[in-house]
Amino acid sequence: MAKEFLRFLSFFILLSLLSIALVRLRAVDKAYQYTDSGLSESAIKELSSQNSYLEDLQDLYGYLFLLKEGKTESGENVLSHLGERIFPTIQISILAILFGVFTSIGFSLYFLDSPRALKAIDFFSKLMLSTPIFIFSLFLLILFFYKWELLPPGGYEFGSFSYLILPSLSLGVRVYARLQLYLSSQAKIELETPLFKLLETRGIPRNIILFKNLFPKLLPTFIVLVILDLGSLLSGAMVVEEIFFFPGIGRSLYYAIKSMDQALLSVLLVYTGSMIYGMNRAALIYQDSKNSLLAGKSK
Amino acid sequence: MSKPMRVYMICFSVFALLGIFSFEAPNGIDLDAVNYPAFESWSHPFGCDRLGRDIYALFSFGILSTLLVAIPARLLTIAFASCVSLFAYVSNRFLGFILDQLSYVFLSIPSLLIALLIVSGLGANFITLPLAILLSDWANAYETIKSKLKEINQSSYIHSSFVMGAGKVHVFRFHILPSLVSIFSFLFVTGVPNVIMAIALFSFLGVDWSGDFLGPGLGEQIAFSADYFDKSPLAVIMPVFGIVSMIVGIGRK
Repeated sequence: MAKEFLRFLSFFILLSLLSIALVRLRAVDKAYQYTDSGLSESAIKELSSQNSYLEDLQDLYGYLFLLKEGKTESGENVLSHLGERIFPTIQISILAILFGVFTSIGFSLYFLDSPRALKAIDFFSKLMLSTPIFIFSLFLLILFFYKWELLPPGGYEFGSFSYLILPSLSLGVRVYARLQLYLSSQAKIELETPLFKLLETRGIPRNIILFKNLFPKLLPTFIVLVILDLGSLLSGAMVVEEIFFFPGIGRSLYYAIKSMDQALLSVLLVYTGSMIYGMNRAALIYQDSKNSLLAGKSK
Repeated sequence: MSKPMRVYMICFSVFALLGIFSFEAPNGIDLDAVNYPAFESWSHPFGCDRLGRDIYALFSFGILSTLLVAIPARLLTIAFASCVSLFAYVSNRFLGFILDQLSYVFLSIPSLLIALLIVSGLGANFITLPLAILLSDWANAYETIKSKLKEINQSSYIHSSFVMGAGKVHVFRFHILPSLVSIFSFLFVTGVPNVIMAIALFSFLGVDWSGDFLGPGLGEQIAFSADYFDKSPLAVIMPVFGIVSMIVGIGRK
């Protein structure tokens, strides 16, 4: 545990150093943002002046540990800004994961006995993984909004499910494709093993073999993939939320880059980095514990 | 690569090259050809978009501008990751640990975010775009090379070399580097599709390097024409076809 903590601490320090370096690179010339503001040259100079690297680092730690109130470029409190936007992003992330998990399990295991259908599904999954996420978003938008007028083109309303469907589908498609390819390939291999041949010869119903014997065997790695996907969803969320005008963390990140919002951007970088690190470590530790169990080792 | 895939990729490459040699770069506006319909004349076989730019030319030059950045960017990334791996290999444990942690930091920040920050800060051109891709992607390549290094390092011929008195740099130069050649080609083949996706995405978000002389990137073409899908569907379908074909074709071994 202490080793894990030290590892995280060194990671956190490096992450904050890098975040400040990246943010300073972006926010190097803010003066042009105020050119049409009617402010005097000296006021613009003052507004666009940069602190030293150490001062920025100090500010960042102040915002992160609530010692100092961070303000966005529009004067909002950084943490309350994030608090408002985290919930919509969590909603679409959970929906995307649920969509990916259930459709991948359904398609992979249901079509396991028809090799041609499974091959076709595998092909489509590979095609999905070869298609950038914004293309899915645009096609969903064209179909569900422009053509069929079934769903709103974007935005968010608390409690309204229809606003979540298109962003979640866009994010979930790649989750589905990754999980489906894993499940179908591993399930095919497992079904050829003597254990499953024996279960088949004993006349156990196919569904019981698939869902009570086969799926639990594939579950540990499946869970690891799901956890890793949760972390990587944020990258997709940046694009998807921008396309669907969805007020989540991803759009906030994109907006912070565009508006050179130093405080918001640095805090977001550290939070997202730490979150993804935590997920990756959790997945790794979970996998290690499962592997040790399988190898018969115990702590 | 399977035979049908090879045939498909040859046809695709010939099709794209034909467009490059038959048309001029689509960086101008032709108001007489706005939304010119497809399959009606040989001068605009796939029609024109709403600025009168030929869709076939947009497609071909879009592919050219993507590949002109994607390939050097990936090669640079692999070269940089190899240098860092070599440095981690020859340096002491502490430095190795710091480099590992640094790679975790880069892996934990979404690569798109790092690249966007760099491109937004430095501007998009032929130098900064590969640099942004390098910085956003080097950690993945570093981790792959590191694990391969670990595997090679445990082999008997490496132990024998050390026993014979060889230094770390010598072992790296004469034993490890030749063994890494296969991983380099693997990293190139599997990495270029991600770079193509990143470039398409940048272009979609308006970050493009070649607009003035090669015309808009494939992503920008999609963003520009998506709202007018009914009027010129090929202006959206062709760049999508270009992106997916490049990713599928290059990504298949």
